[in-house]
Amino acid sequence: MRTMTFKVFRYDPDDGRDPHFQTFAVETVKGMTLLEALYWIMENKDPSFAFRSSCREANCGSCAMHINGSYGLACRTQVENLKPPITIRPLAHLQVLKDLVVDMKPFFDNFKAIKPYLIPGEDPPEKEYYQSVEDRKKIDHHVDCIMCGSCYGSCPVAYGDPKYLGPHALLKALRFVDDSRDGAADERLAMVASEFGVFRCHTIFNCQLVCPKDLNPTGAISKLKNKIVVKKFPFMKIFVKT
Amino acid sequence: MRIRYVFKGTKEELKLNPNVGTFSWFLHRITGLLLLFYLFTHMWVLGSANKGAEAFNQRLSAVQTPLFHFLEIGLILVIFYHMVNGLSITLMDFANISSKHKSLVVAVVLVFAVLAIVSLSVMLPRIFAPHVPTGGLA
Ligand code: FES
Repeated sequence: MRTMTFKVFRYDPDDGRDPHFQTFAVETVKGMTLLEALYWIMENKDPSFAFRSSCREANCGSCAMHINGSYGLACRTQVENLKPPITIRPLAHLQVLKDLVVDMKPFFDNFKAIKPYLIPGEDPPEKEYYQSVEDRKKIDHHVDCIMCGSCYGSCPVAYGDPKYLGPHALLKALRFVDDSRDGAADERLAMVASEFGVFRCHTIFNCQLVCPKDLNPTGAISKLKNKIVVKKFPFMKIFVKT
Repeated sequence: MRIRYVFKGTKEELKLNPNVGTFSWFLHRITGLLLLFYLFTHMWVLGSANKGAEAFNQRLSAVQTPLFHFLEIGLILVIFYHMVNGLSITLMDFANISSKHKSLVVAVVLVFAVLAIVSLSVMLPRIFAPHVPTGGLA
């Protein structure tokens, strides 16, 4: 057992105080995750402390937050790997509702904007849509995204413009463009080529760095860029890799 | 208001995401603005040619001073950074090598260092060279 100092972002719209940091001394045990530590604070120190979590096993994406200088999932972070004082902030670029809980609406609005569902190109087949193993491999990577918002919080472009689709939405856009069963690739490419799409990306690599699932939104965005360029100027195929 | 928002946001971003990518993005923007500023002064000097050879020579020799030679070194470093970083981003996009970010950063630093050392070795002595008003062709 070891006592560790936590500096936690606090904000309650009802108590009239400005956002501030509150320090807690948390008794940690070996193998304790950061999420457990937050629960410990809630149970032992301050029951009004608010944060989101659900699955506790890096599957639902609820518990993403800013932990000691980087974004990540609280349930996947071991406290003993963190350097005290452990500073916890909510996800950036989204409005704080209370403590570590942010309003994810703009985030999911951007996600919805790219039509994150299959749009079949042809009439439905008699049985299921067939997808070969090779074709499935193409989207293997992107389907793992759990929409936790780490990439969105880490993206400086999202600060400058809330309408910017964001790494999460663009990664998902590529997921459907690359899907052999999807028939709306052109429509999707036109959508992400818009003012708030891929060309807003400044290639900062933060999204790639923070992704708790080790996905590569930066690469997805550059792939989409290349696809758009080749669609418009087919001769560019010799220069860019799609 | 908007400009204050930009400044505050940039500071926040650098603090919350202390990653190589954030810093190189920041430097890229700053160097971009500096280059824009330089282009105007560049135009101001060259534009004097419209008023004849005499005016042009006069204005050009006005910037052949140790101070401006010193600023020129800053200018060349700014150009090199903006150029090398920009090329690395283009290469990253074209060749789709985003998973090699670390190697790209190392390459940028190395190329920048080589260019900087070569140009400094040429330009540094010029600061201390006696100022010869040669009609601008120093
Ligand atoms: S609680 Fe579900 S991802 Fe952390």
